[in-house]
Amino acid sequence: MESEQLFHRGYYRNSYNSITSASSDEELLDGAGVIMDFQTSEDDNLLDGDTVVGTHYTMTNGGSISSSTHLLDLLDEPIPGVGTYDDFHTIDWVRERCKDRERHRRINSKKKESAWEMTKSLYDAWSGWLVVTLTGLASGALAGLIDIAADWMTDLKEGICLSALWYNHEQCCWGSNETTFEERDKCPQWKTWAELIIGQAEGPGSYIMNYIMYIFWALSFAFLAVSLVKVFAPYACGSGIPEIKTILSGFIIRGYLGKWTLMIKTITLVLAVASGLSLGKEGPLVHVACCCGNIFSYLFPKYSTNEAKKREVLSAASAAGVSVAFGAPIGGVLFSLEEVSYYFPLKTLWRSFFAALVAAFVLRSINPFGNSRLVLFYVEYHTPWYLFELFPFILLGVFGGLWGAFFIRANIAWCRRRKSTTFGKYPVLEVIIVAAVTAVAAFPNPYTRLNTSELIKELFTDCGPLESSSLCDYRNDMNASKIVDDIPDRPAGLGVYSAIWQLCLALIFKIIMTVFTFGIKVPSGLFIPSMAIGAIAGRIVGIAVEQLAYYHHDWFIFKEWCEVGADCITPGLYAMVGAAACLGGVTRMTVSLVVIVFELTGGLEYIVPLMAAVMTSKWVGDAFGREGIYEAHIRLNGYPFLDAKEEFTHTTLAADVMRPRRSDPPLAVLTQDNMTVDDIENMINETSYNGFPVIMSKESQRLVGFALRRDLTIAIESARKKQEGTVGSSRVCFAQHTPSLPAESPRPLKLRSILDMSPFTVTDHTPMEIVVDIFRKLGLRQCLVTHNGRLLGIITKKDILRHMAQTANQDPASIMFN
Amino acid sequence: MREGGGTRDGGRWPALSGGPEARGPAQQAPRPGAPVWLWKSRPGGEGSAFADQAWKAQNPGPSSHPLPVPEQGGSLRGRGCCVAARPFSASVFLFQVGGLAGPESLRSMKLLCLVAVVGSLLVPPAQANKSSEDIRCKCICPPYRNISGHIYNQNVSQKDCNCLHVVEPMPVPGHDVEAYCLLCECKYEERSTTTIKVIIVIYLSVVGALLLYMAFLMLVDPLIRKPDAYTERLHNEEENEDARSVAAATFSGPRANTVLERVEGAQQRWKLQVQEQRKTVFDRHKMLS
Repeated sequence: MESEQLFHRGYYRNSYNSITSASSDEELLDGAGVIMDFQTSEDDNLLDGDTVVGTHYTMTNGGSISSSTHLLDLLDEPIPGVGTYDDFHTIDWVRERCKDRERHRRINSKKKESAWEMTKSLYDAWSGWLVVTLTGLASGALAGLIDIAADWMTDLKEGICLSALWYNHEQCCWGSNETTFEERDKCPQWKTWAELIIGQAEGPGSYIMNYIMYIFWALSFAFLAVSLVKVFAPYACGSGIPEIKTILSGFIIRGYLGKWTLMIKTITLVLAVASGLSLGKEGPLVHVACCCGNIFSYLFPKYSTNEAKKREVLSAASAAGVSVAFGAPIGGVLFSLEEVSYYFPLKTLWRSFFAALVAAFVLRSINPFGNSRLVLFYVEYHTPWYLFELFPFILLGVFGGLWGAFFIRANIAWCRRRKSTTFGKYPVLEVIIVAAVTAVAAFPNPYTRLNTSELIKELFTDCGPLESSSLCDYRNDMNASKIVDDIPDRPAGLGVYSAIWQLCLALIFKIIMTVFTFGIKVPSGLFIPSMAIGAIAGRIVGIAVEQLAYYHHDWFIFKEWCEVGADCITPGLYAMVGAAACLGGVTRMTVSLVVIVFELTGGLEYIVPLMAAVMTSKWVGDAFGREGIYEAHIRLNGYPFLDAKEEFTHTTLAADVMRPRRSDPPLAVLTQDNMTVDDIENMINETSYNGFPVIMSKESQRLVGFALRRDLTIAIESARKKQEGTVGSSRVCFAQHTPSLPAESPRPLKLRSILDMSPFTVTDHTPMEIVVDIFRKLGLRQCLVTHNGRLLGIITKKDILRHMAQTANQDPASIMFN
Repeated sequence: MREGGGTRDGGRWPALSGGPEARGPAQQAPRPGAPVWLWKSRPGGEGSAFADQAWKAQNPGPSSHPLPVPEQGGSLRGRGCCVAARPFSASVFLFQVGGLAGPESLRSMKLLCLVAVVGSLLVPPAQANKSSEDIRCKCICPPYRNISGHIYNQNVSQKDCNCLHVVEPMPVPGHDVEAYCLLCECKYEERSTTTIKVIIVIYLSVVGALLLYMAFLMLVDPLIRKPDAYTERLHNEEENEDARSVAAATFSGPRANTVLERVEGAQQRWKLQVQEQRKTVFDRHKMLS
């Protein structure tokens, strides 16, 4: 629907260019006080500085310009720089898509000319697939690198493999036959730091030594990470998903997806994960993949010159990122669709699918965990679940929703503090303190000392006869020789009870630390800590329900399914459902989350419990606040992001939102043929707006088009340099036909090529609901408001954002770059 | 895709049909003429282990040996090996391409090229051999009667990865072997030590290079660079709260001629960009807070 509309729009624009200037649209416009308003940004100062008024030549020749128009002057002589954007500006999707269509048409028309042109057009057609392939390959390889290096560095905190320094703990004991059933991870090749330094493996002395070394390594990794971020690429910190959402919605942040950001994010992500902070690598992997997408899109002119097309690649790249982060290709595509992407045509869907596939394939062949899986915590259950279990699952969903609401509130409050008070001036110190507290508190508890992914793995794993951890320390009074398929429910042993206590402490610890960790200036993802919290809670609930069913198997709910000796409760499944619920509560994702978790487990039969838990957590979370953590961070930072999910329900009209307001002075517009270069430069210097409507004349006030400030500046500058006879008193002509000028006047400067002749217009009585919809669906940057055909004012994306903030009783001044 | 996946599916305890999944190979297995390749073609360790197991159950005898089945597992593994080696060189290629992507990024390009060279030097050994330390068959046997749990670990090919080949010495008498082995779970796993080594070496060298460069920027650079026009201008601009115009000024600065000057210019530009980013993120808290 949308693209069809766009197509027509592009078509009109083109025909408009080439056929005649007196189209019927123009007749409708009638003169009036023309007003406009654009939000300034700091970049404008830069432009102001650049546009020095040049020396004035007075040349008296050249009034005789042929007025024959170039039919396609837009295509013939593009001025370099026109059509690009400044940092922290919003792109105009409609313009970008029209540009791409024109480019495509040009290539297609040349196709028949020669074999070389044919090859070029083929290359152009294939470049979309090529760029997503490269992106997938790169993100898979980088994810493998991050996984392997992070595992190694995590284990470096506790010891080192003497036989081969590059092995992590598990790899070190890979071929060892000295491992025992109870202590599987002990082998003589792996030395803890206490063994190396003070020479004893057991005892309080070695415990203290290990403790000290753990804290030492955690602190040094964290310090290294934050200093690398601070020195080389400040944009590499954080999770990156809020910013990527904003970028995909059509915002420019230069350098955010650059090479240095990519390298530093990859490097420091490993350090941050290894330092034991309560963070994950999944969110930053999306950023890493998007960096790859952006970098590779520079190889292909189709994508490097067009911001809208580039965003299609980035959508695909984010799918690849999730695909390698969770080993869930389909979940990645859905994540891209549900959570991050703004404009997602079907073509992008297929490309995302392909990128996710390539990335997953590469990661699988690197095999970073040695388990032939893409993630560490892959599990496979086959035990069925029963209807009455939906009740605990829904309880877990409620917990997830409450956790999500609490986390969002607390984290945003803390981040606001960081943003607004002097506390934010010490990012390095903050990271060090958080890392120190985390390390000191985490070491004594075996469940927090573990790498979070390993913790999740342990919680997800069901207790079979092969497990020896204390979580599986059930009293075993069954006849051991009886071989059964399922392990029946058993009474919990002492180990399980102590494990539950430790898990409760770990839960509290994780909840507190995650609130303070998310947002510190190292790469930090949220998925893994959230999942860990949910998994801990879920496992505790699971064990509780299991014991309940064991001791009260005559209760009517258990009667039917849980007879003595039957295996009816799987605590690992509860952990999984809890993880999904907590993640859902924090991010408010639904479909993609269920698919991601389902791909993690490979069991189709658990979709219903997962859906129930995720849906409940979303409802409960939405009851406390509608936004997920990413939207909350977008709002906190004031990024100009027009959320497509949000509904606009107010009854305001376009006239209430447009600028200028009644009290504002009517501001300058350009007339199509009786302004001089000096006039325009003065206007650019005096105002700070990003664009100017062009009207026929002050008297008639009929709208001709819209010219962007940046384009005007560049065009005038290049005309002064290249085009002889352009002086301050030259007429600037936006019309098709040059007006008749006195003979001695300087040659006019024709700027029709930079004029957008199909600016979007609405009438002043259009309800804002429709205007907001137009902005969202078409990705407009600005829209002109008319009344009886007279140009009245302008609505920009930022006006809409400000208006929405106002109606939601928020501070409209918080929108970024006012 | 299922290699090495030691799982709880029916293959392990097939004797009793407990759940719906227990429809394992158990019911069909003990026919001597049964298509053994059916399980063989499942490249999972336990699948083949079970095939042998079933066969053995049918032909009781001390010297029973698995049927000479087509070595599908082996060939699969061979393919897996190539696959494991290929993406690495692909990633190296990518690094090179990534380096070419931005002509202005001389430094990062150099670094990436270095990575590429290091990578390509180390890749061939990965393809050459799958050394014996890269594969293992790990059998976990839970406690059984009065025998405590044990882990057996051996270097055997995937085809031989089953309880009968790996568990040595067998802790139970002959008639109990079958029951004991049904409890054990054997997993065939493989890894690429070369990949691990290469990745760790690359990672550490990149971190080392960055650290050196950081030290250079912080200690040496201010010493050798006198407070010249550039820093002065920077200082002035800082007061104006707008460093972006400095970036612009540098962009339009005098064209450098030699390669060294161009590198220098690129470095200066990059420094300004980073400084600007640092201001946005750390000082003004406009982003990422």
